[in-house]
Amino acid sequence: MPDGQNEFLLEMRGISKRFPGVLALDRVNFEIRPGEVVALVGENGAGKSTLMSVLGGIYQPDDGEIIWDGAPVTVPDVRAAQHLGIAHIHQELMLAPNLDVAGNVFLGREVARPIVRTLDRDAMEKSARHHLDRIGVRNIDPAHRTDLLTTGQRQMVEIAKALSFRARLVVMDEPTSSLTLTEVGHLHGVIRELKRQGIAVVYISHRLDEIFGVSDRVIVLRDGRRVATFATASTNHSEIVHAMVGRELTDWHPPRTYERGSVLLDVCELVTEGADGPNSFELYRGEILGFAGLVGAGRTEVMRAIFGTSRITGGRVTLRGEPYSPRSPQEAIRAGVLLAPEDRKLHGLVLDMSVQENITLPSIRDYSRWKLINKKKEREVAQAEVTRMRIRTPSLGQRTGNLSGGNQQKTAMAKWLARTPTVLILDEPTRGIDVGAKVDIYDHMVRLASGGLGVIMVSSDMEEVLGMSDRVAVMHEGRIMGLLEGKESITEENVMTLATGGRLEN
Amino acid sequence: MKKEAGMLAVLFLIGAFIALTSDGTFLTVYNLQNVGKHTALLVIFAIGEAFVIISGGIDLSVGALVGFAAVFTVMVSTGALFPWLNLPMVAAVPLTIGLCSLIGFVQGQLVSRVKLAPFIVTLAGMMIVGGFTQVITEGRSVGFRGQHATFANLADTSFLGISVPFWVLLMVLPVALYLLHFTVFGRYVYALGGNREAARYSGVPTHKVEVAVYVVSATTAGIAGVLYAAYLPSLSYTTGIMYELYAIASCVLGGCSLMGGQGTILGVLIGGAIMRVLRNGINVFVLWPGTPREFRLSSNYEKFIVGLVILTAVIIDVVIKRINARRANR
Repeated sequence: MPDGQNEFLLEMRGISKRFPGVLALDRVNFEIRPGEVVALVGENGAGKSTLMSVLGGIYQPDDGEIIWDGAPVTVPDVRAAQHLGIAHIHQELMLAPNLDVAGNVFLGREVARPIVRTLDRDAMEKSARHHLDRIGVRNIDPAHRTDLLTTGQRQMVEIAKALSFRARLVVMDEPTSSLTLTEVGHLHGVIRELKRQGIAVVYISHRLDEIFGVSDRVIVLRDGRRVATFATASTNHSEIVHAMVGRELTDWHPPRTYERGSVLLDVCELVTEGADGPNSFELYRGEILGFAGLVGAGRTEVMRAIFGTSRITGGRVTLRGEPYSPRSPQEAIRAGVLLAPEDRKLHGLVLDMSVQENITLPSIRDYSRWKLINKKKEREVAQAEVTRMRIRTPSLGQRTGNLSGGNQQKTAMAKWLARTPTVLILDEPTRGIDVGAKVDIYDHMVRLASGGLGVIMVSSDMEEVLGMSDRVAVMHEGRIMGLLEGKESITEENVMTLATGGRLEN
Repeated sequence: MKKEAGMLAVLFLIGAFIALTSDGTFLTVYNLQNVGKHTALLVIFAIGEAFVIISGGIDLSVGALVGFAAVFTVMVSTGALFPWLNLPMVAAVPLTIGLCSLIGFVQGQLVSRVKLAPFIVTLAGMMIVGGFTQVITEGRSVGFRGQHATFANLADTSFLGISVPFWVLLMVLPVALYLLHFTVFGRYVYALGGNREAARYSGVPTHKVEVAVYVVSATTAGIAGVLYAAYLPSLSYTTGIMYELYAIASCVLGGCSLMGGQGTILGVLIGGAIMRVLRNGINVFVLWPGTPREFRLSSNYEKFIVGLVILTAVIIDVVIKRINARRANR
């Protein structure tokens, strides 16, 4: 064995993977040392997930070799990857919600007592606690059902599970996409702890600011090729973005001048389930009103009440001066209030339907006579939206579930634009999508606002909140803690102070 | 459409196999008319079931509704329910079908507003409706017994070489095609089955659509039931038992997913036809010409063979899907 200091734990050499019509990976090299944290970045479709799926045994490479711990290996399936000590923590956590923490950690490898073969809960709980302790997590009881835990806590359970497999490499795919800021901080603490124990971490994230705090090296993929490698300490945000997109993105957020129109939506002392405020705010024509706050602060709940999916239990809302209290999304939509929900797979799209059918679903009644769908008109509407939103799809008849995340999100937005809205509520409009699609969506929001709409943008992405909002309402534990207005007061510090329950001076 | 084409090919293959092994009895006008009649009697309510299945639900009550409708039409038109009640058929038929629709409406309300599981609501519905039929017949069989002679033989009457039940199917079919594939309502049925929450967020009146599919299903069961009254000389509370399962099987054979969101009217028609051609084939099957009756397949094999075919069909479907998925991943 040569110089042990520089010995790689894993080397992937010349990995290629072809899918019908696309070369997803083109002779990609990847390497990581024990105890190293490598950030793997790139736009959606750049090949990050495919590369990690090859490592995880989900895909077989067409070409290339994998060297693990100095010896060539093949990874025919997921179990083989686990056996080698490679753990994968997915964006959507894979836990059985009805089982307790220990049950999840040992799922598939349950400890049973001899002869009687009954589950040895004590042994499993003890061992689960040991692994949680190793990452410094003390606020999770191994006997707790996982559905009672927060997303951040569930992630800790996944990491403990990985450790119980004696993982030496942990792949985290967008680990922070649904974490609160404190949880992100905690996760980074845990990653540093893993690093100290010699465990390597591959960290995939769209949130570039995060990788500076946690990674040693940054590997950039673009169009299935490795295009750049940086030592984190000697690079910066714009250099990485430049490598990702292949062009300089000076400012992602389109410039605009904000002209406040008349009051569109006046929310007064609103009380609803999960946000008992009471909360008051106005939305003006032509503005983008950001809603910031930590996950669980009640932002989505306020929006649900305005959209009629949950009940307004107190206060009153007026829309264009008229009393407004929708009892169903139908009533809200009829009044011109539209919501593109946070979870596009759960609430936004019918994945089995075509792009065209999804886009026209909310508006189809408008161009149907005698209940008969005017298919020609339907196609025109869908085509117009696909062009306008720059949705990349082989055809209008393509199953929506086959599109990439960014294009799905654009489709979910296009649905609402096919009906000219008065108030457009976007809940986490750019979560988990690539920079290019983000810019398209931002352009669109600005165009809509300039056209006299009121746009409400709920977002957990600080850059987005700061860059896009004309005003920002910050929520904490069900209440709006403050409304920030103007470049001087919309700052990260002010938003965070309010979001964590603090108060601003003056 | 690909799936329908495949099932159509399977239907023709089965037909060809039976034609070759049936000693010439399969391809007679009489036999084909007979198969057509039975296919119609099944497909009419299988189409209704398809609306429910595509919307993501299930309707177990259709068999009981077919039986109820058959028995009820006879009883209200022959004085068997109340001696003073002798409705003419033009009143008895709409009354029966209307009652079925109403039962569907109630079941739909329970599923949609009270948010009970469709399986439970329609299971209870099946028992309640079937039990009610047993109560009003007092366990005995009923029939027209000479009254309303024209109607009683309607199912065996044909116009232009096509039996009346098949004519009814030819009327139901375009209405169903129109509703499911060309209207906003149809689009909403698919959206509801594909993703209920997304449909709700898109302003789809999910409650109305959900109630409507149960009404459609119960109504088609009523229509089929009335035709059974015009077909079978003797009816009882056992009429229609298990028919819901044949309807579901036709839908599945025809490409509907029990998860909802998928399936077509054409597919259900082909699925139903496969079921009936198979049953007929078992009756006319001969290993080689001149085999004595004793060595032919007894009709007792029907259920057994149809079950095997359904299982084979879904296995093939899954295998094809996997192969396609694997090809897509390569």
